[in-house]
Amino acid sequence: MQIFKAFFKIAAKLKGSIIMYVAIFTTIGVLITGSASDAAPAFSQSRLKVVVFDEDNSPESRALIDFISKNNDIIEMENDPEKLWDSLYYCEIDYVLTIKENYGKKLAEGSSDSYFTYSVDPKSYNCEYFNLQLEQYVSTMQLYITDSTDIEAAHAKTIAAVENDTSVTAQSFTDDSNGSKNFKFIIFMRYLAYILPAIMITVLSRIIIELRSENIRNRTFCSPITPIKYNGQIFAASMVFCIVIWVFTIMLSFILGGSPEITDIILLAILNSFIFMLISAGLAVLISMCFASNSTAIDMIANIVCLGMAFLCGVFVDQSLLGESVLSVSRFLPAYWYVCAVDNIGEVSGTVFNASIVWKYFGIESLYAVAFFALSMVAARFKKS
Amino acid sequence: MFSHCFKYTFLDFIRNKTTIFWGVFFPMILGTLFNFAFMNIYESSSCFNEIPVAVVDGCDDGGIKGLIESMEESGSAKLLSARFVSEDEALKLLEESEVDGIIYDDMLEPTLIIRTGGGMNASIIKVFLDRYKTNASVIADIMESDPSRLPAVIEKMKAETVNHLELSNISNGNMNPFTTYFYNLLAMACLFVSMIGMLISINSQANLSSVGARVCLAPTSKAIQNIAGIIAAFVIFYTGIAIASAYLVFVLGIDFGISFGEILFINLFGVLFGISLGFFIGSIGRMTFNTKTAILLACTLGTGFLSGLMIGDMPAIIEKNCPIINRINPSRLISDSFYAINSYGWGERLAMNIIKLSIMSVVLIICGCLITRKRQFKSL
Repeated sequence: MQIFKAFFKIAAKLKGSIIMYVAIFTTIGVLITGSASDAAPAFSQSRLKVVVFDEDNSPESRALIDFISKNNDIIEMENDPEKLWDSLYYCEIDYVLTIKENYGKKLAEGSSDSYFTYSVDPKSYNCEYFNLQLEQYVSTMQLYITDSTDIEAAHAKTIAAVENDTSVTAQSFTDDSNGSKNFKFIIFMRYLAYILPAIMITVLSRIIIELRSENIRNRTFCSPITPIKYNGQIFAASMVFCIVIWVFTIMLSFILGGSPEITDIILLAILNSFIFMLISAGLAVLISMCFASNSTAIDMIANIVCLGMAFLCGVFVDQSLLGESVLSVSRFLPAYWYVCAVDNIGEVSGTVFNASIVWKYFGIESLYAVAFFALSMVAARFKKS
Repeated sequence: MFSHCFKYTFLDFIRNKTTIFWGVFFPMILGTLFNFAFMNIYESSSCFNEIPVAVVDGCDDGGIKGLIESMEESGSAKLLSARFVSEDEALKLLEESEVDGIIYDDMLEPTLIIRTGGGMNASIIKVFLDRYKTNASVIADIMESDPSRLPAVIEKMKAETVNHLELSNISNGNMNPFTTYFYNLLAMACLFVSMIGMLISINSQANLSSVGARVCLAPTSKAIQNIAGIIAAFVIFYTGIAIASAYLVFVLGIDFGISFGEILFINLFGVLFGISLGFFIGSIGRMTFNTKTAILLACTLGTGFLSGLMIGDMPAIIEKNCPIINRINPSRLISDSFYAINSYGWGERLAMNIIKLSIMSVVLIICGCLITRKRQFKSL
């Protein structure tokens, strides 16, 4: 058990760095989870954050603003182009509408001039959605103005007609809405696809590289130890180390998720993260055996592997938004199957829970773990020879 | 003496293949992965596309069916992409996410079924149906009050809708929000140069490296050695980041919304700050190389995260809750400089970012030099 003990002696020596790396990545995970929006309710009509500048300031324009505020949130902002653009770019507001001067007069005359100017990405959904609402109001007003010249009466009739809205039924295709019940827990589980490999590669690889450094290796192989025992003890120590970190992340996910009740769904999510922890550990061992010759490179490799895999596999951006060509490549990466399993278990991103599919994902993930450990063994053997 | 120190630090860095490789290829590899992941994502996620719906017939002259068909015939911009199917088939399509809603085509009371959650697509379908119902309501109202005006009203409804909306661009910048990931990627690449800055400092301290032990023997001013090292590292890694930027712009064809020269200009201050940060962290305390590396990674990834490297909306969240972080976060200052030129051109905002980065760089270099200046090691 000398190698096993040496592993933890090195870990103790590096404890400052280890604590720091674990803190960096878990803090990032906690902050991202904290900033995630809550699960969507059954159905509520999307409300846009709209900034309105009323240059007309007439009863007609005020009536229009009143209509807009029924289905949207009016945001007060000063008319500073820089602030408006920043807010639009970072989605703090969704639409900027300016009601032009003489809007009321033109509306009464039925003029074909433009009544409004708007600022938003013209190709966006927000633009299409808000323009539809606005056109609905203006065209209805104009129909009533044909009928009655009294603007106030036309507005009252328009509002009455518009309020007669469509009945919407939200259809759930499952008995239990797992996603909404354990939303934060599931979201943190998804981000583990970034956090676990990042911690494992930056921390575990460093310990193994240290353990395989020339001095320690020379001392180790002075004694009659077989390569199988040597590597076996490294793997055993790595496992213990990884399980400690994994337990820590699971505890964190329970805290963030508001201590969800332990159900089959939660247990499946935990099992999924355990398998992914094995994959991450295998990947870290493989990297330390093959690629990284010094610890400076470890951070770069960790960043490329973890950030690259996270973006390609739908950790930070939903898989539904990634193109088919991207997903066809992602399927070769373990994080893709992990995220698929999390989404399926938590019923997020429009997926429906299916136990047999989840177990299939677990099987694929397990194969990756086995493959990484097998490749690590081969690499260790190859390096020794 | 300066040129001697410069020459040998330069050669030292050039011969260190690992540092060169990672300094140049790190942003290129990550940029390629980012580019692949975000390829067409703007068009597919942010740009409006026809919304797929299933329409279940409720009557022979279904109003919605007629409306959708007439819209298709008129060639006007399509809002919905409809499939006319049976109820069972429609539910199956909804369950499989093939459609975003099911419209029950009743002449007077069309109804809508959506998946739980719905979202923007469901809301657009609803507003489309609301408009249909509003028109039906107007007709019913006018029939009741003054039927003689009905033909004129219907004629007006049929007439092509006049567009009363006029687009007003606040900025001519690139609206693609996913570009911020590439701004942040270059910011992170600049800050990763801090690892090299740390090496300059470590290589001048006898207790941290054998090179440092040798250098400390030489009767040369520490400040000259350090400044020469910083300039050598700057020349090499600025060139490296410039090559990586050229790869992103000309090979991958990423649209930063600004010219290549402007990218190089901002990189200048980013790389300078990266080296200064590493040099300062390398100079402070008697921590080991690994601990200092961990601190730098914390700075690089932490500031990158706050600047939107992982979640693009993060700067907006910070701006709302603690705007001071956005004003001093170096990653944010670098990425915001790209954004500022893209959105507003050369102006006050860019100048402020550049001035802040320059001041922080100079302060960090001066502090680093002061800390290592008179450091002495006891005789054993």
